[in-house]
Amino acid sequence: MSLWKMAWRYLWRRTLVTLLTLAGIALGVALICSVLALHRESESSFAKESSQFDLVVGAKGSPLQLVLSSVYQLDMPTGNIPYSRYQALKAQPRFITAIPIGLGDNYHGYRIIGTEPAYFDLTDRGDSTRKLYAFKEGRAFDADYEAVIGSEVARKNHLKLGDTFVGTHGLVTVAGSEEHKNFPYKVVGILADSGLSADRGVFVSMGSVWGIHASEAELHAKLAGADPAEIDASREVTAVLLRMKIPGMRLWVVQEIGKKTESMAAIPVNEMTQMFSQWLKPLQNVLLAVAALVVVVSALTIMATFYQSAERRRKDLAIMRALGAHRMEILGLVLLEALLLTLVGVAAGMLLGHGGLAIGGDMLKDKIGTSISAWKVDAIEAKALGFVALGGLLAGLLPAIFAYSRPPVKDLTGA
Amino acid sequence: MNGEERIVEIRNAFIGLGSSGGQPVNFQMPSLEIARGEQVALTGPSGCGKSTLLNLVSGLRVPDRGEVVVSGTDVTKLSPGKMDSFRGRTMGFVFQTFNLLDGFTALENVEIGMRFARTASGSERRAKATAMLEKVGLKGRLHSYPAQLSSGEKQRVAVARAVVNLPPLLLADEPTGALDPATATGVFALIRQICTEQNCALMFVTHDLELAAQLPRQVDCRGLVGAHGSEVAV
Repeated sequence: MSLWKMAWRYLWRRTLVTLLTLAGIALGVALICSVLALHRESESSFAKESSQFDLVVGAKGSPLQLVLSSVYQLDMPTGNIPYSRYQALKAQPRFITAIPIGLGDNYHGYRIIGTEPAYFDLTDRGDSTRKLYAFKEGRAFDADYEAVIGSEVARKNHLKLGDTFVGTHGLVTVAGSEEHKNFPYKVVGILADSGLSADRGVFVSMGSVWGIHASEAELHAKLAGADPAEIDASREVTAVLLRMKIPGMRLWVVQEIGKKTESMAAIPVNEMTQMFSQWLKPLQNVLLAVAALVVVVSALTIMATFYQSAERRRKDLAIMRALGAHRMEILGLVLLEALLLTLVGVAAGMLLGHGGLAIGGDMLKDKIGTSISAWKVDAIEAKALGFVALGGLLAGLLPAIFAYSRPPVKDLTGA
Repeated sequence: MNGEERIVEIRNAFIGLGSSGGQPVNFQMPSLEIARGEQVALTGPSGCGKSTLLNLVSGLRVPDRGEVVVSGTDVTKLSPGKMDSFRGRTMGFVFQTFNLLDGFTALENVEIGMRFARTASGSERRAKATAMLEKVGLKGRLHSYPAQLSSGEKQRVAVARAVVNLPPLLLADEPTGALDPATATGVFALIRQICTEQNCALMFVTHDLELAAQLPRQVDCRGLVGAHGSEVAV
């Protein structure tokens, strides 16, 4: 019978204590796995999307809010800017791409985004050979009231090509929200799953957005005493997404736009980096500290359990010594128990943490808008779990040394 | 004892055991020799030093001075690691309270004895342990745990574990003390039979003078522990 087998047998002789200790380790490890995976995945997903555009131009307000609302479809927009502003930006040769974004309605909580078909021609900046948003089915819209829907919108609402739906006024659906029943959209394209915010978008032409709200705009214009001819001039967009010929000049452009116009420009990658370092990183650190605390408590439990167990097994260990067991074998036996317990705990924790992420992946995508590679284990996580295993082993060291150094004669004879 | 192989030789062994009522209490054994295959009863009242003598021979206790030679090796000179190995190969133990490992079956208890003594490879252990348990009359109890065995059966497992490595010396510390008379007689006979078959020396501690009288040699341990130590008749 090997020492491993003996250690395993001793562990399962005290089933309840072993299971409780395992649960403690597994919970701590699960917390570590999920916090690290969530941070990694959200950061990489946010980073991927934020690097697609050099600048976002919109109404003055919070730059982070502008980026979140126009790039990630989170948070409320800062307001609107004149359509003419978009046209002016588009005309400038320093911008290679200028895409307007018009927000105002939603479909079952998914934002209806007025834009241009050029949105679907964008290439991935990480891999210029592929498009950023690929079509699973259908095509881009080429007329008003045609819609391209994200993969999640299609899946959750069971929409397919040719289906029609109507939008609801506002960015979120609340009781009594006005439905634009006279302006149904027809699904002409469904995007492939990208793991990006586009999965949650309903894309239509700017003309559709303006058309639906034209009656309201006309009414507002008339009430304001404006010339109907000026209505076209009062058309607005929520934001403009820009790619620059020379991205290195974006800071200069941000300052220029801020000073010379009524609008504001924000650099997505800067805003997201700041958000991660100011908000998410401290939150992650707090969660990791909680996880570390759980692991430390588990390690202390291991230490107490094994100390108690070694104390209860003094006679067994003394018998083994009488049978010829070396002191190192006694040390090894107790250490192996701690190692086995920790390894099983770490494995169970990984299963729990990553399994939880896999199961809750869809819910997380709804909440934070990013896909999770639930089963990926990166170097940081591997290192963290290595430390946990080492901690478990160290926790077993004290009782092991206690067992190692105790003379067997006392426990054999009671002398 | 001329010409016979000596398994145990003790010369002027002394252990300070502390003090009692301001007087030092010591263990002192001037001389003891036991030949291979010799069966010796160690008698005397509780606390006279019988168990200390066994611990001394087994290396579980190291004397402050003196020599304890077992099977030609002075055990007082061995490092703890070498002593552990030496003990496993050279000696078998049978205790009054059986001292079986509760979490392991009868067969595993015997195998573990061989594992730590390193006297057989993994594949040999099971066969040898099974044969020895069958020899002590436990053929149908190989896979029983100690809690499922009677006192007599437990002691038979302990005997099997002690002799399975064919040690030249068996140390039995009141092995019949916790057994009823009939069972005690059976276990005593078993120990003697196996020691005779294996030509194994036996140091048999007992309070039972009738049992002791059945062995060819008796050592009265009275006076081994005392204020100054004293000579003992051997």
